[in-house]
Amino acid sequence: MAKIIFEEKEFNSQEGESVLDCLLRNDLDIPHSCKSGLCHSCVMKCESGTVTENSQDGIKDSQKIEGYFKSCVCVPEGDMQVSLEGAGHTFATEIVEKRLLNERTLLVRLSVPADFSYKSGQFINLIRPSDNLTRSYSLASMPSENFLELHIRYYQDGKMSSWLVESADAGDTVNFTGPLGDCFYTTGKEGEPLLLAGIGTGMAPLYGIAREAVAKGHSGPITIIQGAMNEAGLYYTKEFCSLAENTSNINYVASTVDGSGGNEEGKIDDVVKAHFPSLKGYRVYLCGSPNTVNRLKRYSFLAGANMGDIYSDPFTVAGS
Amino acid sequence: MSLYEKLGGSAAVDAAVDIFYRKVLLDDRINSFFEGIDMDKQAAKQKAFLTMVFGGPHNYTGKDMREGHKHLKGLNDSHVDAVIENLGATLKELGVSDEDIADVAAIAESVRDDVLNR
Repeated sequence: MAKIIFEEKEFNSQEGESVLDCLLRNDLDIPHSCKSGLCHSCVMKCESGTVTENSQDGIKDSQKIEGYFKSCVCVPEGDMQVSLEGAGHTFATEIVEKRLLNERTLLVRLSVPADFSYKSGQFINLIRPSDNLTRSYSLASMPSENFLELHIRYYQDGKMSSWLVESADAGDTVNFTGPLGDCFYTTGKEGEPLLLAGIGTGMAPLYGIAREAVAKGHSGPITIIQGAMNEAGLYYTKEFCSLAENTSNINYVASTVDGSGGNEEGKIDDVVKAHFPSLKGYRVYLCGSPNTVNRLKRYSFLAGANMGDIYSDPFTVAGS
Repeated sequence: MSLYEKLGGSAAVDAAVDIFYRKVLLDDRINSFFEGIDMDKQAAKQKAFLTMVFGGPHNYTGKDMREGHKHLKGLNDSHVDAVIENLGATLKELGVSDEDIADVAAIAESVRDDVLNR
């Protein structure tokens, strides 16, 4: 017998009843399928209270920390407040800096709202206050920094990015929800080798994850591979180079499809394959366009990385 | 004692899924059916399947198996044979006895008609 709070309403669970069954019995529409703790379609987030150990079986480490659990196999041991993923508080913030990093990439820094906490590599949903236009961007900053940093791909016909590049200014207010996503550094296996590979603004979460790993005392080798069509498509290379120079266990590889700018030549898939014929025992972070991320994910798995050790963040482009 | 318990429960099935799924993706007889699908979701489905054939807790009705395969054009007995073969090789790699492998193959065999929608 416990109280379950969902969407600000209280429900009393019955003896031996799971969180899911309790909510379903009260006619709430919670996604679910196997009801055996296997399919993960009923995963919810515990906002307060404690989840049972068995209900996090098979959940990724990074999601466990966030409180995600399988509601069908969680018979509450005490009162719990639960939510469906994505539901969250809206924060108000201010643009404190913006500048172009290259022709197509805008850096935006936001002030950090007092009650906001996150992990580098997670993303936020940025909201334009005038019309609530919303787009997702990953966090390149670290929680220890006094700003939130976003790298925004500039599309001339992109509503949010063209507004940010052409109209928004330092001092403007924007809103956001989040943080979301499970592509971030987790502690516990500090000696594991890491591969971080990305293209485009996929480098934003990777920049945050790499620095967070170092800050958390990661001792295993960390390889960062950035890919672009040509030299003009790369950005933040100085920042990554200096990170590698100042950190003995970080190696940074910039690559371009045409080999321009003296970078390693080749498509990122081929660069990753050349450096890592085997990825057994590796933890892998992949960020960028969905096609590239999915190809790299498949390769990483076939090269020996465990499925549970591959973290990815495919960036989809919203229709303008 | 079920094979599920003998292997060590849920975490052991995760390890088995990694080996099994990798074999399936490398098998040219069947890997074209797995092009462009969400790997995490597929791994979760395979976990449910392996848990079932290992005699672990499950809720198998056959309906999901039918739904999940009916859009696959050209799927036939030879593909099911290949999957069962990969399953056997996975278990061999995990040090499972031939007797247990035969039991698992028999359970996997029992879903053949659901997979092939007949």
